[in-house]
Amino acid sequence: MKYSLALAFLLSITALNSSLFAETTETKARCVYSGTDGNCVQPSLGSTQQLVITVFGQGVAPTVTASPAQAYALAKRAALADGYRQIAERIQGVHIEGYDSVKNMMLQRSNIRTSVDAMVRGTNVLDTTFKEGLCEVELEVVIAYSQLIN
Amino acid sequence: MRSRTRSCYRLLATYQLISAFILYADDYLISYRASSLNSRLVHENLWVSKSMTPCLGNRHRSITLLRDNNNTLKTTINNHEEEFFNFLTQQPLHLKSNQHILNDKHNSIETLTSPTQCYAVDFNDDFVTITIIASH
Repeated sequence: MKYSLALAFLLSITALNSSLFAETTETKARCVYSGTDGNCVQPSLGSTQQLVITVFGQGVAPTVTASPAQAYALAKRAALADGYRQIAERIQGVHIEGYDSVKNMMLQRSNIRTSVDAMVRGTNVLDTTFKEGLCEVELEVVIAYSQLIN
Repeated sequence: MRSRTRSCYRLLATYQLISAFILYADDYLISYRASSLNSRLVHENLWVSKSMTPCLGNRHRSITLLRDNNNTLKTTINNHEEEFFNFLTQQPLHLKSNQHILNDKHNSIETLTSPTQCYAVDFNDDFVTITIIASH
């Protein structure tokens, strides 16, 4: 009886200890960059949080296909590529170049180029719909702070 | 005593030989690329080739595809491209996207590439099992 009471007491102390000091063991989020005032700017994603990014990729079936199944398959490929692009744009960012030529205070030519180059992993296809030649794929990716710093 | 040890070694060697035959799998290198222009698929290619050297690494996820008439791996994958593509998208994919907006004209090209990856392929009479081999 004595031993069991002592064991229960020890266990309760350990549990209390772990809950009290849980925050201290949490890995501190490092600075993303120093702000204009020199202060550390914390990342928007906390060290224990997870960020879920959901996108809808759209793809169009080719006009000439052997069967409706082929149209669906091809449209789905295009939709996935579009979805992956949106995920990469959100996570990694987009490189944008723009050239505008103005003559006599009038816009002559507007040229904008955007590019994304990324390796995407860990995406889940949540839902796929195909209606009137348009395939829409719902993609989800879950990112955690630990993945970002590694 | 010595003869018993020898027979034990023989037994072990025979067991290894049999297990090697049973669990025999060919290593294949597979890569995939798809390009879409203005949200419409314009190019798609799947490269399948037998690996010249054995692939080292741990086996990960696998997929089992039905196989008809002793088809080759490429034919089997082409027959079940939807299933295989779903399996392929669970791995890291490289995306390259370029968009060009000139005045009011908009063009976009997306290229989705599955980098060359080694797979262990087990051929059976009715089905084929493809397993990812991840290098260390």
